Amino acid sequence: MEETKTFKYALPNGCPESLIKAKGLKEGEYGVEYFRISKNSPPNEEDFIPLFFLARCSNKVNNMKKNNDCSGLCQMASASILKTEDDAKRLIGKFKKMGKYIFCGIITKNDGLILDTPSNDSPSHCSFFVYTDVNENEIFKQGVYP
Amino acid sequence: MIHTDTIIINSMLVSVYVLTYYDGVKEEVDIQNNTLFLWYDEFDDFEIWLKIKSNTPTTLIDYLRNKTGIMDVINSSSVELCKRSFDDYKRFLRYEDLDLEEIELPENDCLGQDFMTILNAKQTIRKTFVAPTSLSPKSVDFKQSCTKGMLKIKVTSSNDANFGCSELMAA
Repeated sequence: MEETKTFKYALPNGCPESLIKAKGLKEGEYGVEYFRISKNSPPNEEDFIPLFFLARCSNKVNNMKKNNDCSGLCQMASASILKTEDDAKRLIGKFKKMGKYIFCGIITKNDGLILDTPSNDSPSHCSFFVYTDVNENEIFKQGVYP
Repeated sequence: MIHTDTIIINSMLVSVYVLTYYDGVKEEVDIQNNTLFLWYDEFDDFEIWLKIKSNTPTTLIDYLRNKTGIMDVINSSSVELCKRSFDDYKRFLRYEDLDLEEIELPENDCLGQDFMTILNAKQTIRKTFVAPTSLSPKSVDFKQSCTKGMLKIKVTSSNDANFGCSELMAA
Protein backbone atom coordinates (compact mmCIF):
# COMPACT_ATOMS: atom_id res chain seq x y z
CA MET A 1 0.00 0.00 0.00
CA GLU A 2 1.30 3.46 -0.96
CA GLU A 3 2.25 5.72 1.92
CA THR A 4 0.32 8.99 2.11
CA LYS A 5 2.67 11.95 2.14
CA THR A 6 1.97 15.15 4.02
CA PHE A 7 3.44 18.55 3.27
CA LYS A 8 5.98 20.07 5.63
CA TYR A 9 4.19 23.42 5.80
CA ALA A 10 0.49 23.94 6.47
CA LEU A 11 -0.54 24.98 2.99
CA PRO A 12 -3.40 27.43 2.34
CA ASN A 13 -6.85 25.91 1.83
CA GLY A 14 -7.16 23.99 -1.42
CA CYS A 15 -3.43 24.24 -2.16
CA PRO A 16 -1.77 22.85 -4.25
CA GLU A 17 -4.89 21.70 -6.12
CA SER A 18 -6.10 25.33 -6.51
CA LEU A 19 -2.88 26.33 -8.23
CA ILE A 20 -2.84 23.28 -10.51
CA LYS A 21 -6.44 23.86 -11.54
CA ALA A 22 -6.30 27.66 -11.90
CA LYS A 23 -3.21 27.65 -14.08
CA GLY A 24 -3.51 24.27 -15.75
CA LEU A 25 -0.13 23.24 -14.35
CA LYS A 26 1.66 19.96 -14.85
CA GLU A 27 3.94 18.11 -12.47
CA GLY A 28 7.65 18.54 -13.01
CA GLU A 29 10.13 15.76 -13.60
CA TYR A 30 11.43 13.72 -10.65
CA GLY A 31 14.82 12.11 -10.18
CA VAL A 32 16.59 14.94 -12.03
CA GLU A 33 18.77 17.83 -10.93
CA TYR A 34 17.27 21.16 -9.84
CA PHE A 35 18.93 24.43 -8.85
CA ARG A 36 18.16 26.71 -5.90
CA ILE A 37 19.50 30.22 -5.25
CA SER A 38 20.57 30.77 -1.66
CA LYS A 39 21.69 33.69 0.52
CA ASN A 40 23.86 31.45 2.66
CA SER A 41 26.60 28.98 1.87
CA PRO A 42 25.98 26.23 2.75
CA PRO A 43 22.23 26.92 2.68
CA ASN A 44 20.38 26.74 5.98
CA GLU A 45 16.74 26.03 6.78
CA GLU A 46 15.81 29.72 6.39
CA ASP A 47 16.93 29.65 2.77
CA PHE A 48 14.02 27.34 1.95
CA ILE A 49 11.09 28.80 3.92
CA PRO A 50 8.39 29.82 1.42
CA LEU A 51 7.28 33.47 1.56
CA PHE A 52 3.80 32.53 2.74
CA PHE A 53 5.25 31.43 6.08
CA LEU A 54 7.52 34.42 6.71
CA ALA A 55 6.30 36.90 9.33
CA ARG A 56 7.38 39.87 7.21
CA CYS A 57 5.00 38.79 4.44
CA SER A 58 1.94 38.48 6.69
CA ASN A 59 0.39 41.75 5.47
CA LYS A 60 0.94 40.77 1.87
CA VAL A 61 -0.63 37.36 2.59
CA ASN A 62 -3.61 38.98 4.34
CA ASN A 63 -4.20 41.30 1.38
CA MET A 64 -4.12 38.35 -0.99
CA LYS A 65 -6.57 36.49 1.26
CA LYS A 66 -8.90 39.51 1.13
CA ASN A 67 -8.70 39.43 -2.66
CA ASN A 68 -9.33 35.67 -2.64
CA ASP A 69 -6.15 35.11 -4.67
CA CYS A 70 -5.98 31.38 -3.95
CA SER A 71 -3.52 30.48 -6.70
CA GLY A 72 -1.21 33.38 -5.76
CA LEU A 73 -1.24 32.32 -2.11
CA CYS A 74 -0.52 28.75 -3.10
CA GLN A 75 2.42 29.78 -5.23
CA MET A 76 3.76 31.78 -2.26
CA ALA A 77 3.61 28.60 -0.17
CA SER A 78 6.15 26.88 -2.42
CA ALA A 79 9.88 27.31 -2.91
CA SER A 80 11.15 28.32 -6.35
CA ILE A 81 13.59 25.95 -8.03
CA LEU A 82 15.09 25.95 -11.53
CA LYS A 83 15.89 23.24 -14.03
CA THR A 84 18.97 24.97 -15.45
CA GLU A 85 22.05 26.57 -13.98
CA ASP A 86 21.93 29.23 -16.73
CA ASP A 87 18.54 30.47 -15.53
CA ALA A 88 19.84 30.63 -11.96
CA LYS A 89 22.93 32.58 -13.06
CA ARG A 90 20.84 35.02 -15.08
CA LEU A 91 18.63 35.67 -12.03
CA ILE A 92 21.48 36.36 -9.63
CA GLY A 93 23.07 38.59 -12.27
CA LYS A 94 19.87 40.59 -12.55
CA PHE A 95 18.85 40.69 -8.88
CA LYS A 96 22.04 41.38 -6.95
CA LYS A 97 20.42 41.17 -3.50
CA MET A 98 18.47 37.95 -3.90
CA GLY A 99 21.33 35.61 -3.04
CA LYS A 100 24.76 34.96 -4.43
CA TYR A 101 24.98 31.17 -4.26
CA ILE A 102 23.59 28.40 -6.44
CA PHE A 103 23.16 24.88 -5.09
CA CYS A 104 21.84 21.85 -6.89
CA GLY A 105 20.37 18.50 -5.98
CA ILE A 106 18.16 15.69 -7.24
CA ILE A 107 14.51 15.76 -6.13
CA THR A 108 12.63 12.49 -6.01
CA LYS A 109 8.92 11.76 -5.64
CA ASN A 110 9.58 11.05 -1.95
CA ASP A 111 10.83 14.60 -1.37
CA GLY A 112 7.80 16.60 -2.44
CA LEU A 113 5.60 17.84 -5.24
CA ILE A 114 7.13 19.72 -8.17
CA LEU A 115 4.97 21.87 -10.43
CA ASP A 116 6.16 23.33 -13.74
CA THR A 117 5.63 27.09 -13.36
CA PRO A 118 7.76 28.77 -16.06
CA SER A 119 8.21 32.52 -16.33
CA ASN A 120 9.49 34.41 -19.36
CA ASP A 121 12.88 35.15 -17.89
CA SER A 122 13.29 31.73 -16.34
CA PRO A 123 11.45 29.18 -18.47
CA SER A 124 12.80 26.40 -16.27
CA HIS A 125 11.11 27.77 -13.12
CA CYS A 126 9.32 25.17 -10.96
CA SER A 127 7.51 25.34 -7.63
CA PHE A 128 8.53 22.84 -4.93
CA PHE A 129 6.16 21.78 -2.14
CA VAL A 130 8.31 19.81 0.26
CA TYR A 131 7.03 16.84 2.28
CA THR A 132 7.30 16.45 6.05
CA ASP A 133 10.60 15.12 7.38
CA VAL A 134 12.46 16.16 4.23
CA ASN A 135 15.42 18.40 4.84
CA GLU A 136 15.83 20.70 1.82
CA ASN A 137 19.44 21.52 2.63
CA GLU A 138 20.19 17.80 2.45
CA ILE A 139 18.87 17.85 -1.12
CA PHE A 140 20.55 21.07 -2.23
CA LYS A 141 23.99 20.43 -0.83
CA GLN A 142 26.13 20.56 -3.95
CA GLY A 143 27.43 24.07 -4.55
CA VAL A 144 27.70 25.01 -8.22
CA TYR A 145 28.25 28.78 -8.12
CA PRO A 146 30.38 30.76 -7.48
CA MET B 1 1.92 31.31 -19.87
CA ILE B 2 1.83 35.12 -19.55
CA HIS B 3 1.20 36.48 -16.08
CA THR B 4 -0.28 39.89 -15.47
CA ASP B 5 -0.57 42.08 -12.40
CA THR B 6 -1.81 45.52 -11.46
CA ILE B 7 0.23 48.08 -9.57
CA ILE B 8 -0.40 51.66 -8.47
CA ILE B 9 1.93 54.41 -9.68
CA ASN B 10 1.14 58.04 -8.79
CA SER B 11 -2.37 56.94 -7.73
CA MET B 12 -2.95 55.41 -11.17
CA LEU B 13 -3.73 51.71 -11.59
CA VAL B 14 -1.33 50.26 -14.16
CA SER B 15 -1.45 46.82 -15.81
CA VAL B 16 1.88 45.06 -16.05
CA TYR B 17 3.19 41.81 -17.47
CA VAL B 18 5.27 39.72 -15.10
CA LEU B 19 8.52 38.84 -16.89
CA THR B 20 10.32 37.10 -14.04
CA TYR B 21 9.46 35.62 -10.68
CA TYR B 22 11.47 33.62 -8.23
CA ASP B 23 10.03 33.43 -4.72
CA GLY B 24 9.11 37.11 -4.13
CA VAL B 25 11.63 38.48 -6.57
CA LYS B 26 10.01 39.86 -9.71
CA GLU B 27 10.49 41.86 -12.87
CA GLU B 28 7.46 43.51 -14.43
CA VAL B 29 6.89 45.63 -17.53
CA ASP B 30 4.32 48.30 -18.40
CA ILE B 31 4.67 48.32 -22.19
CA GLN B 32 2.21 51.18 -22.70
CA ASN B 33 4.33 53.54 -20.59
CA ASN B 34 7.72 52.07 -21.61
CA THR B 35 8.53 51.25 -18.00
CA LEU B 36 10.30 48.30 -16.47
CA PHE B 37 10.01 47.49 -12.75
CA LEU B 38 12.81 45.51 -11.17
CA TRP B 39 12.91 44.12 -7.60
CA TYR B 40 16.07 45.33 -5.88
CA ASP B 41 16.07 44.46 -2.17
CA GLU B 42 13.83 43.48 0.72
CA PHE B 43 13.52 44.49 4.36
CA ASP B 44 11.14 43.50 7.17
CA ASP B 45 8.27 45.74 6.05
CA PHE B 46 8.96 46.66 2.46
CA GLU B 47 10.83 46.03 -0.76
CA ILE B 48 12.85 48.42 -2.88
CA TRP B 49 12.27 48.37 -6.63
CA LEU B 50 13.87 50.13 -9.57
CA LYS B 51 11.45 52.01 -11.80
CA ILE B 52 13.13 52.19 -15.21
CA LYS B 53 11.33 54.49 -17.64
CA SER B 54 12.88 54.07 -21.04
CA ASN B 55 13.60 57.28 -22.96
CA THR B 56 14.02 55.25 -26.14
CA PRO B 57 11.10 52.81 -26.35
CA THR B 58 12.85 50.81 -29.07
CA THR B 59 15.57 49.83 -26.56
CA LEU B 60 12.94 48.46 -24.18
CA ILE B 61 11.22 46.58 -27.01
CA ASP B 62 14.61 45.19 -28.09
CA TYR B 63 15.11 43.98 -24.51
CA LEU B 64 11.68 42.35 -24.54
CA ARG B 65 12.62 40.76 -27.87
CA ASN B 66 15.74 39.31 -26.23
CA LYS B 67 18.00 41.38 -28.49
CA THR B 68 19.67 43.64 -25.96
CA GLY B 69 20.72 43.55 -22.30
CA ILE B 70 18.99 45.14 -19.33
CA MET B 71 21.85 47.60 -18.74
CA ASP B 72 21.31 48.96 -22.26
CA VAL B 73 17.75 49.76 -21.16
CA ILE B 74 18.90 51.26 -17.85
CA ASN B 75 21.54 53.42 -19.53
CA SER B 76 18.95 54.95 -21.83
CA SER B 77 16.31 55.44 -19.14
CA SER B 78 15.24 57.63 -16.26
CA VAL B 79 15.70 55.44 -13.18
CA GLU B 80 14.24 56.00 -9.74
CA LEU B 81 13.97 53.93 -6.59
CA CYS B 82 10.54 52.96 -5.33
CA LYS B 83 9.29 51.52 -2.06
CA ARG B 84 6.73 48.72 -2.10
CA SER B 85 5.31 48.20 1.37
CA PHE B 86 4.05 44.72 2.35
CA ASP B 87 0.85 46.16 3.83
CA ASP B 88 0.00 48.04 0.60
CA TYR B 89 1.82 45.89 -1.90
CA LYS B 90 0.27 47.21 -5.10
CA ARG B 91 1.46 50.77 -4.45
CA PHE B 92 4.86 52.01 -5.61
CA LEU B 93 6.08 55.11 -3.74
CA ARG B 94 9.21 57.09 -4.38
CA TYR B 95 12.04 55.96 -2.07
CA GLU B 96 14.64 58.54 -1.14
CA ASP B 97 16.58 56.88 1.70
CA LEU B 98 18.97 55.27 -0.75
CA ASP B 99 20.95 56.98 -3.47
CA LEU B 100 20.96 55.55 -6.98
CA GLU B 101 24.75 55.85 -6.94
CA GLU B 102 24.90 53.38 -4.04
CA ILE B 103 23.02 50.52 -5.64
CA GLU B 104 24.43 47.45 -7.34
CA LEU B 105 23.17 47.42 -10.91
CA PRO B 106 22.44 44.19 -12.80
CA GLU B 107 24.69 42.46 -15.30
CA ASN B 108 23.88 43.31 -18.91
CA ASP B 109 22.04 40.05 -19.54
CA CYS B 110 19.28 39.60 -22.10
CA LEU B 111 15.80 38.54 -21.03
CA GLY B 112 16.29 34.91 -22.03
CA GLN B 113 13.22 34.61 -24.26
CA ASP B 114 11.50 36.71 -26.92
CA PHE B 115 8.62 37.97 -24.79
CA MET B 116 7.08 40.13 -27.56
CA THR B 117 6.64 37.14 -29.86
CA ILE B 118 5.07 35.14 -27.02
CA LEU B 119 2.77 38.09 -26.21
CA ASN B 120 1.77 38.64 -29.85
CA ALA B 121 1.03 34.95 -30.30
CA LYS B 122 -1.08 34.98 -27.15
CA GLN B 123 -3.03 38.05 -28.32
CA THR B 124 -3.64 36.48 -31.73
CA ILE B 125 -5.10 33.44 -30.02
CA ARG B 126 -7.27 35.69 -27.85
CA LYS B 127 -8.55 37.61 -30.89
CA THR B 128 -9.45 34.32 -32.54
CA PHE B 129 -11.61 33.48 -29.56
CA VAL B 130 -13.28 36.90 -29.14
CA ALA B 131 -16.35 35.91 -31.14
CA PRO B 132 -17.29 32.81 -29.11
CA THR B 133 -16.54 34.68 -25.87
CA SER B 134 -18.87 37.50 -26.85
CA LEU B 135 -21.66 35.05 -27.56
CA SER B 136 -21.93 34.16 -23.89
CA PRO B 137 -21.78 37.56 -22.19
CA LYS B 138 -22.14 38.20 -18.49
CA SER B 139 -24.20 41.29 -19.17
CA VAL B 140 -25.43 43.14 -22.19
CA ASP B 141 -26.44 46.81 -22.13
CA PHE B 142 -28.48 48.23 -24.94
CA LYS B 143 -28.57 51.98 -25.52
CA GLN B 144 -30.90 52.95 -28.31
CA SER B 145 -31.23 56.34 -29.94
CA CYS B 146 -34.40 56.50 -31.98
CA THR B 147 -33.70 59.90 -33.41
CA LYS B 148 -30.32 58.92 -34.88
CA GLY B 149 -31.24 55.33 -35.62
CA MET B 150 -28.18 54.13 -33.66
CA LEU B 151 -27.93 51.05 -31.52
CA LYS B 152 -24.98 50.79 -29.15
CA ILE B 153 -24.33 47.41 -27.62
CA LYS B 154 -21.85 47.01 -24.80
CA VAL B 155 -20.88 43.41 -24.15
CA THR B 156 -19.06 42.48 -20.98
CA SER B 157 -17.65 39.00 -20.72
CA SER B 158 -16.67 37.31 -17.47
CA ASN B 159 -14.06 35.11 -19.10
CA ASP B 160 -11.08 37.43 -19.13
CA ALA B 161 -10.65 40.66 -17.21
CA ASN B 162 -8.16 42.08 -19.68
CA PHE B 163 -9.88 41.29 -22.91
CA GLY B 164 -13.45 40.74 -21.84
CA CYS B 165 -15.00 44.03 -22.90
CA SER B 166 -15.81 45.02 -26.42
CA GLU B 167 -18.16 47.59 -27.84
CA LEU B 168 -20.10 47.17 -31.02
CA MET B 169 -21.73 50.02 -32.86
CA ALA B 170 -24.56 49.14 -35.16
CA ALA B 171 -26.30 51.69 -37.32
